[in-house]
Parts: sequence; structure tokens; C-alpha cells
Amino acid sequence: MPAAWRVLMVVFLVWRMAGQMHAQQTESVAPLPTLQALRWEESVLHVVTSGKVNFQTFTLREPLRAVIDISPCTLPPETIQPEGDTPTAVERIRWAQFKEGVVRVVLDLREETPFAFSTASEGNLATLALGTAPSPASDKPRTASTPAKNNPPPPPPPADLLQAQWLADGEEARLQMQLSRRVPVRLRPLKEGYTTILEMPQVKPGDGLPADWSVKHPLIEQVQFSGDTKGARSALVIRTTRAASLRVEYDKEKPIITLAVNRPRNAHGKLSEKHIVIDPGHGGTSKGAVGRGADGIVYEKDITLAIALMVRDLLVKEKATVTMTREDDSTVDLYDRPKLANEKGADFFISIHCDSTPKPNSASGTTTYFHASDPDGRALAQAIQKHVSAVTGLPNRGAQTDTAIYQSGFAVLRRSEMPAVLIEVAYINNDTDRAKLKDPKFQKKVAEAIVAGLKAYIEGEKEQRMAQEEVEIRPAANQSEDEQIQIPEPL
Amino acid sequence: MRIRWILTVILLAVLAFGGGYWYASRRPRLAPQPGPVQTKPSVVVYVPISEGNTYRWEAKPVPVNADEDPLRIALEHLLITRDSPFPQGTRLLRVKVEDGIAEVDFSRELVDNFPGGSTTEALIVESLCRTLAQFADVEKARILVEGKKIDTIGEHVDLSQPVPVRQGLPAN
Ligand SMILES: [Zn+2]
Repeated sequence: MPAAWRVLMVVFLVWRMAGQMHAQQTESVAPLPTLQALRWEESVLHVVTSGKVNFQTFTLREPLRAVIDISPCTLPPETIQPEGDTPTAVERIRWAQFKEGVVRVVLDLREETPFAFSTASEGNLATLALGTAPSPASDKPRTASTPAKNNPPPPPPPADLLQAQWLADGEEARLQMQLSRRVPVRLRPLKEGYTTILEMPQVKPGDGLPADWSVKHPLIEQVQFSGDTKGARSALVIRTTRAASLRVEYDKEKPIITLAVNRPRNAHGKLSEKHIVIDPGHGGTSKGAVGRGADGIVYEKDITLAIALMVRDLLVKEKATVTMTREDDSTVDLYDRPKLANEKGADFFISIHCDSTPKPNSASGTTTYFHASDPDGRALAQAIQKHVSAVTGLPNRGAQTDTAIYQSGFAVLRRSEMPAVLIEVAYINNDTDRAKLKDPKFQKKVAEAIVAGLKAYIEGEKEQRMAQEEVEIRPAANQSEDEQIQIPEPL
Repeated sequence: MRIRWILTVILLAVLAFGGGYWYASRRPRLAPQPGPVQTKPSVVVYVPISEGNTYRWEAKPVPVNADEDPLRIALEHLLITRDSPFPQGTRLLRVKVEDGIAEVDFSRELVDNFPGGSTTEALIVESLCRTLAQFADVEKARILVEGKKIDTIGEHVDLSQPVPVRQGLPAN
């Protein structure tokens, strides 16, 4: 027996010796893989390690960062120098031994930037491709062979705003602005009454601009310019005395932009002379959004009909002509609604809805939508939103373009040939909003406000109507906090 | 007898050495030289994150295997990922790209389970468009339900014509 033991021991020792000899031949100690290189190829970052590692990627916010955790991994004794040019979307790139065995690489991002992440099968290389959604890059993936690689185009140089002057042109007020090159600008209503901002995100204010931008015109109450030379962006805030149509005209040849301010379409005469189509959203088999709570179930189609019938009665009392797309719980095709208004040659189209979001209680308040950048629809939306948001006791979400989220817009607004709006009175999947929506007294207040807003669009605000021909200049209302004029971000 | 013992010990020793050497060589080498690399493609899906009065679009990367269609993987993932605005139970039936138009055919849950609201509807269409926009050969999208063209999902957004997938500055 002892002899057998001795033999086994020898066998074991020889086994171990052989293993150690192998290790010595390859590497005396097994070290952790190290981070070897960080290399930029346009908007793609390559992370190279000396051996097989695991990569994990995620985003952190405030400030926005893209993070890559590498494990098991250590930093090499020599310093790493990132190769290639850091893309504009990345403020800087940092890396550190985050904890034992984990190296963290952090990209500080300037803006919301999507990225695609992939690792090599050998486990020693990872690529992070930064991209932007609206990229015309032709090397986007379609087939299974190429990773997403959307190179953000370099930002264009800003245009200089060289000159600006008001031109009196009869009823119209025109502000002509001369730029060093053509750039797109955008008009957006602010929440406060008849205030609209002209956003010029790629425009740098020049030296020859007027100190005072105001003009004596019955439609214009206040004009305020703010420019940021360093950030190369400018904005013009225009407050009008009533609902007004604001339109931007681009000169076909020269880099000249003209802002034209007019009385909007169908805004002459009296409400009693007008023909209005009222469209209660959904109906019949189409229930619209559903509100569910401890208080039971409520359907959007029933609330929109209740408010619409009240609006009809109030308009009839004003001696206006009214056409309803439905007067009861019948099913009406979506596209037949604007068609009816067009066939009747109506002056206005007013659609009434209640909104709903993917998550209950995530939103509250009143919004009035107009189509795309239609100047008359915007003016009507501003007038109605001003009056309705004043009575709902809910957050004022403003007059908004129906392309705010999605660019094709709403069918009833896109297809109506007259000034048209869609009012989202409140959120049916918000408990506070829903309690109000179900209340007939609330419905009545909203209906009255819709009529008051329409009347203000046509005849001017009540105080203006009382002052008859004279244009009364009201002091500027205090701007609420979120209404403070902000210079727009680049588009 | 003694010789047989010695021979046995030597034989075992040789076997042990060989076995030990082989065993050690099986363990992974820890510092290989980086060689040519095969990268796996990945796609991105876009979902809306509610932020105060507005929505922020979050891009989520999705890995794609070599034998998979990245377009199909992206759309299937978009339907089930967290924060997806798509109605419960919506499935992707078919997708094909022809002349720049992606025809995306969904199951009827897209309409049947649509919870309502112009915001929800616009978020569905926008998440689809943003996700499709990363594919070089897609310019527009047409939404179908069970093989049939639809004009709208929830009676707000106009889908009667193929919709452009790329965002642009709205014209003034
Ligand atoms: Zn609706």
C-alpha cells in the first residue's frame, strides 16, 4: 500500500509540474486585460482591450452621458491618448478605473444623441456609433452586414442679421430682415395671449440692428428682440393687439426674410354673419379615448358631444349659422367631417376632443391645435386657447401646431379649407381632468369660452369692441415663469 | 518485479506530465493579440419618454444577429420594448420595402386595443417613423392592418397617404 501511495504522489507532482511549466512558457502571472486604445473614426468610437472582456453600455442623465463599463479590465501603466477627432456631439471623453476590475469610459454628450453599440466576437473590441435621427447618411443599415453608423452633419455656419426695418403697407405690417445667407426660421405661439415668437436658431445679431424694434401699427402692441452673438441664435417676440395672422416670406433670390402681420382670414364683420362647423370628436362605434377610474368609465365621444351641443346652442343664440358633423351618437367617417365643412363653404371648423396619453395621470391641461404653420389656424387657435385655458383651471399647454409631435398632422385640420382648430379640452386619463370633464358646469364654461374665443377672433377682444374703432393699448400682462422669452436652441 | 514497478512509475509519470500539460493548455489564454474583428450590427428603436409638457425621444440599441433582418428586428422590438407607445398585443405581421416605401403590416390589436387620445396616436406614428428613419432605403411608411391600408389609427392623425419618415423643419 505505501508503495502505491508513493506512486500516486509522484503522479500528482508531475501533473502539477507540467501545468506550471506550461504557464511559465506562456505567461508567468495571468494579468487582467488592459484598456489599450480609444479611437474615433468620425462618429464611431472603437474601444480596444488587450484581452477578452465584457462590455456594458448605458446612459446617465443630467448631464447626459454615454457610459461603457469594461470588466475584467485594468488601466495600463502608460497613459492612453484617444486617437482621431472627437465628434461635435461629444463634449469630452473620460476613462478611469471605476472599481477593482472595472474600467469605465464616459462620453459627455452635448445633446440627446442615439447610439448603437456592438462588440467583436473576440471580446477585445467594442464600437459605439453615435448618430442622429435625421441623417441623410447612405451607410445606414439595411442589410445584416453593416452596423448603424449615422454621421451627424457638421453644423452650418450661422447667418448674420444685418438689417431690420418695418414697412408700412396699408393694413399689413411688414418687418423686413436682411441676412448674410438664407436660413430657416420658425414661428411658434407662446402661451400668453396673442404672443408669438419668431425663432431664428442659426442667426447671429449684427451691428446695424435697431435699438428699438417697436412700430406704430393698430395690430402690433409690442416687439422685442433678443440675440445671442456667441451662441449665434436670435428670437423676436411679437405681441399683437388681437388674433393676427403672422407669416414668414422668404425672398426667392436674396437672403431676405419678411414677417408679415395681418388681420386673419374671416376676421372681418360679425360672428352673426359667419357659418361655423362644429365637430364633436369620434361617435357611435368609435368611442375615442376611455377614462377609467373609481368613478366608473367615461368615453371621449360622450363628452365631446355634450360640449359641442352647448357650443351649438350658444352660437345659435348669437345668430350664427351652425353645421354639426353629428348631433347624436352616430358614427361619422373621419374624412367626411372636413369634407362637409368644405362643401358647405363654412367660415370656421372647430373640432372638440379630449386627449389621452400612454400612461394615466402623466399629463394634464388644455391644448388647441392648428395645422402645420397655417397663419389663420394659428391665430384662431391662439384666440380660442386664450379664452378656454382661462376657465378650465387646468395647465395652459398653449396653442400648438399639430405637427408638434408628428409632422403630417391631424386629418380634420389638414383637409379643412377654412381656419380650423382641434381643441383637446383636457386629459381623460388624468383623474383631475376627468372629474372636470364629466361636470356639466365645466362643460358649459368651456363651451362659452370657445364661443368667446371665436368672437374675439372675428370682432376683436371685448374691450376693443367696446372702444369701437379706437385701438386700446393694454399694458403687457405679467409673464408667467415658463413664458419668459428664451432664445431658441438650434433646430 | 522491481523493473516492472519502475516501468509502471515511469509510464504513469509520462502520462501525468502529458495530461497536466494538456490540461493547462486548455485554460483560456488571457492576453491574445487583437486580430481582425467581426462587428455585430445593431439597430436603434425610438420610444417617447414623458417629460413635463413634452416628450423626449430615447434611442434604445438592439443587437441583430448576422442571419436576421435588422428592419424586422427593430420593428418587433419597438412593439414590446419598455415605454413603447404601441397598443397592448400589437404584432408585426409583415414588412417590405419597395421604392422607398416601407409597408408595415400590423395585427388588428393596433386599432382594436388603441386606448385613444391624439397624443398617444401621434406618439405611435412618430416612434415608427423615427425607428424607420435609420434605414437608408426607407423614405416613407404606409401602415396596414391585417393586410389592408388604413386611413387613421385613432381618428386624429392623417395616414391616408404614405408618411415621410424623416423629420424636417415645418415650412412656414
Ligand atoms: Zn379624440
